[in-house]
Amino acid sequence: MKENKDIMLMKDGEKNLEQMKKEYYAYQAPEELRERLEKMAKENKKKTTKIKFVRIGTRVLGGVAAAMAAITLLANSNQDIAMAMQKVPALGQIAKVVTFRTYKNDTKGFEANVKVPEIEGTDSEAASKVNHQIEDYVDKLIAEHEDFIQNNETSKDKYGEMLTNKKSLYTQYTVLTDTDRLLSIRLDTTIVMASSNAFSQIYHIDKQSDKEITLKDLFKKDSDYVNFLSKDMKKQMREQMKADENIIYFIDSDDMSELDFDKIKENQNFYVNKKKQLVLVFDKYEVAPGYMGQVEFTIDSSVWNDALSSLGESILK
Amino acid sequence: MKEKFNREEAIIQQYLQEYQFFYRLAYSYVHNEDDAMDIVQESVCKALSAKDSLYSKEYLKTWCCHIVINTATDLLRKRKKEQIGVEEFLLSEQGERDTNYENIEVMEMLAMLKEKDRVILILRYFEDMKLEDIARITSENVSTIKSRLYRALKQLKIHISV
Repeated sequence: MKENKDIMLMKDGEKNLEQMKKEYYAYQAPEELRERLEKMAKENKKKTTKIKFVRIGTRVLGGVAAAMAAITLLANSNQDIAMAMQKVPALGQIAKVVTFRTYKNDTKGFEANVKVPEIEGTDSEAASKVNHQIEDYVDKLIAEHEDFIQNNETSKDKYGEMLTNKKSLYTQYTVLTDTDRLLSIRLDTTIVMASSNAFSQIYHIDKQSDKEITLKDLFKKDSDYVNFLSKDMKKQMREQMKADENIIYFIDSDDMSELDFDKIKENQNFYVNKKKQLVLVFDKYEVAPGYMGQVEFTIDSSVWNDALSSLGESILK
Repeated sequence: MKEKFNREEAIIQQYLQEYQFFYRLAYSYVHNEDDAMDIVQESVCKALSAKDSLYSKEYLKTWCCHIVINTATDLLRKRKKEQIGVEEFLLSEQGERDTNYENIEVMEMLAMLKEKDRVILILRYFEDMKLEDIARITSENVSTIKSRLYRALKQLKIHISV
């Protein structure tokens, strides 16, 4: 382990802090607090805690939807999952994205609200593949959540201790892009425990080739996209940190360099914004301290010269 | 392996023995007696129901402290008055007084800092806790804590050397 150099105080600074410390200590708790805590100590010896599970009923809208929901219910044995079929008025498009089901849990301390999207109204292979992936992804989140509720003592954070037994799970989806060529769906998940975590998963379908696509498909096969995108990001990180001292990324740190950002993942989350720019998306803690939240970097088109694949060109130009 | 000991008893004793410490910390978030007392009391409840996530006696204090901070920030968030609270506080107590830091009361000074910077400054310099313990409490790494400390001291115009 590395030795942590502590911060040493100089004389006038010390005096100032000493003064503050004295004033700080002058805030004394009223006697009442002590009495309240002692009372709790006594009462605690008798009390046992109970966890209440709340079941959400099935809610179905519309006749046609009812039949579909019945089929889905048969396929899905988990009775805790509440279904809500929802129609989205998006006529005229080949595929539409609807809320396929909603998983809810209202138990205090274990709240969950997961909206599961599905691409429907299409016989696209890629769409059904993505639907499956979304299902798997969400099922895993839900399973983890239910697991946590059942034996919440096994969860620990990165230091191996001190998680309060609370966890809430929220997953929302957004249709980021729906053009003639590209359909992108983003799932945003927030998990709140002792501290909160936030991460996303974005799915893209190339409507023309009916294939699911990831970042690598935007570039030519032999292109070095991981490196030139990472390089541009590092440049942006340094510029932002220089311009604003409140911004911190995991980069160029003296004593924690093993945690520093090195390069993006081959299939890093991304989306294409309205200006047809490439935006790379990072989960909380992935490249910055927690308080920075989820961060995104917009990459300028000058970075890739002629490395775009034909798909990339049609989407980003 | 999880250490075996009477967690409930240890938790309650920890809060009882150091209730002044937890109270001061809670007060630095809410700036009033009643809320600060409620936070400490609610933290005990939370700690008791979460006792199984306490892995070792060694971490008892940091663990309890972590819960107090969460409870305090939860309360502030719930009321959505954090920003207003701080502004009101500054206006009501500081008013038109001159900005010479020596004349400003400690809680007012602390209120000028960002929440996360403030708690680290308090734990490090007022409560003399180790950086590693603070890292454990705030779930952040030591270098982040250090940069927060620098920033807080700089903002309070306290000169430091490394």
